[in-house]
Amino acid sequence: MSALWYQKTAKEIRDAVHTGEATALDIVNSFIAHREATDGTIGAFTQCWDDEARETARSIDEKRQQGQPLGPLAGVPVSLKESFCTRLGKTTGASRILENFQCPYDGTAVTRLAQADAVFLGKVNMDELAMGSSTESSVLQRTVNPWNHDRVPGGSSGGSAASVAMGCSALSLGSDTGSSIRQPASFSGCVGVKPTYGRISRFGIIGLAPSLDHAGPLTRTVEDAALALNVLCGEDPADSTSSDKPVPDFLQGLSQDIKGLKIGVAEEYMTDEVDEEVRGKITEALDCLSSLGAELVKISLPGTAYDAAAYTVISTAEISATLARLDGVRYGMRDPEARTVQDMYVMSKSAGFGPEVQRRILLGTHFLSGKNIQNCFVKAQQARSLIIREFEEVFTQCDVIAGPTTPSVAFPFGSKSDNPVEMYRCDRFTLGANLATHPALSVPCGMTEAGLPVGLQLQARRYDEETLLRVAFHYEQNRGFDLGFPPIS
Amino acid sequence: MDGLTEHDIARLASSAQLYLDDNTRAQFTREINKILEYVQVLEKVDTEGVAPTRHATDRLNVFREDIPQTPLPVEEVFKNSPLDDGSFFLVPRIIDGEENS
Repeated sequence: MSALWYQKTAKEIRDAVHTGEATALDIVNSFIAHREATDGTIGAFTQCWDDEARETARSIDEKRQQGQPLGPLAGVPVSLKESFCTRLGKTTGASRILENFQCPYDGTAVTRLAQADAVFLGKVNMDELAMGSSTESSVLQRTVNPWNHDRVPGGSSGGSAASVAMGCSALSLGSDTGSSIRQPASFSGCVGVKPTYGRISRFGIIGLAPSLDHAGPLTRTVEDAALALNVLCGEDPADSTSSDKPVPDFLQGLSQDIKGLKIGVAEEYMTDEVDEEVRGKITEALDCLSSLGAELVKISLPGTAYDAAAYTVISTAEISATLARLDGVRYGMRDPEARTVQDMYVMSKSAGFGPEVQRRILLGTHFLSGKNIQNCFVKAQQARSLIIREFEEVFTQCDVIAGPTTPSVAFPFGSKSDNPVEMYRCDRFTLGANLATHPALSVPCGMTEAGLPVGLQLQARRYDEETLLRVAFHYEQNRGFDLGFPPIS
Repeated sequence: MDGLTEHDIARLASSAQLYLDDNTRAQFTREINKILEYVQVLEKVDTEGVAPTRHATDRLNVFREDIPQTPLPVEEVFKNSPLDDGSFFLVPRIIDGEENS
């Protein structure tokens, strides 16, 4: 029978393919049919690889018939953010400057998923070159929040979050420079994990700010995130900043209980600036963790007052340097009318980059000019050192930090697009983990009266994804509700 | 920190190889000044004697054996080239800057 496979988790799908309960082809067809029924409204998918997905599914089914071993993600339908390099299709970064770019290689994260027998359904929308918190800066199309179509899905991995929440992919690959996995996961109602810096190779991702960029999975359950991290994490010779630390079996680590673990609650994360309804849901989540035997401890993170400022300086400075590579010489858009090299640069960049990207390049150029290098850029890097110290100190007092992922739920389209400071401020609880590079995730912790998801952010010590996932898993198992799927309109 | 003028923004745009029309320049000037005001909070942070964090990795000197790897085939390298002759990427003439290549 054609079971509603799109409603199953990645692990259920993987198990069904391994045991022969279902074919990978039936599963992929179920997801494709569901996307055809829903994505016209949601707008998550920018490229659909239906024929190739069916072909991959058939080859997985053949492998099973021949008795060959199957990978840990066998038959799991996956979507990829537009910033992940693939030989198949285009890799646009949702930007005009790369609108026709066909990458000659696959990024390492993509290769690892393929080697695990995942099935790629296509690519999904994002903010232009991952700059934004609403997916509104994409030049490709509009993606809506699956729970309320007048609101943004979050960003920059908005297409990833919307596609997973809607059941159009069981797993999506996203990237997170300041919030871009966790914030859309919170807004759209799914799980999003940013592991420790270096756990997942950055090779083959359109980079934004190299010292802050992380890749990670978006899934419907914590268990699926652990399954994906088992595949994605590990050293990569193509990325010398990838970590050579051993990668534990994250699935196995989930089952141990959380009795006696110390959960830090920072007063800076629970101020009046956080919506009352959001605070209420976080308090309920903390009560749940406490009832499971975890000990709640008060902590203080005064660096929260300036980490958004440090982030803004460091990220835009890195952006202005890294995006210089998009100059119209070797790949990407080149204005054919340019008669001089100078015109070629100016005309290609000016037509190829949207306003958010241009503004950040200008800001970064400012921070890297003359005396500003010392007064702004180095100052922000020093502030980053203080933020790192502060987290190290706090992690001697607790094992995991818990709080809201975002101060509010998903906002209406256009409500912040004219106010970049307001847009940047939505990310203020998530930036610390990028600056200090420790792992963090967002897991749904309820819905507001208006029917919008709220996300609980958990953060843990560097390289301690095991504890992070374990706390999230036990919370998810005991939170007392099932988020389900958004209604199909 | 003093605010930036439209002239400053034009100078930054020139360094960053961007062309801004009058409206965009005025809009960016307003927005960038708001952002600069916002990041001023950093001035109050006591960073005396604190070493800056310049990168995020905890690894040092990642070496590998000096063994040649297989490069991308030439046709793959030029697959996305806006203009090339099969051996070189072509750009407008650099020396006299007048004629196209």
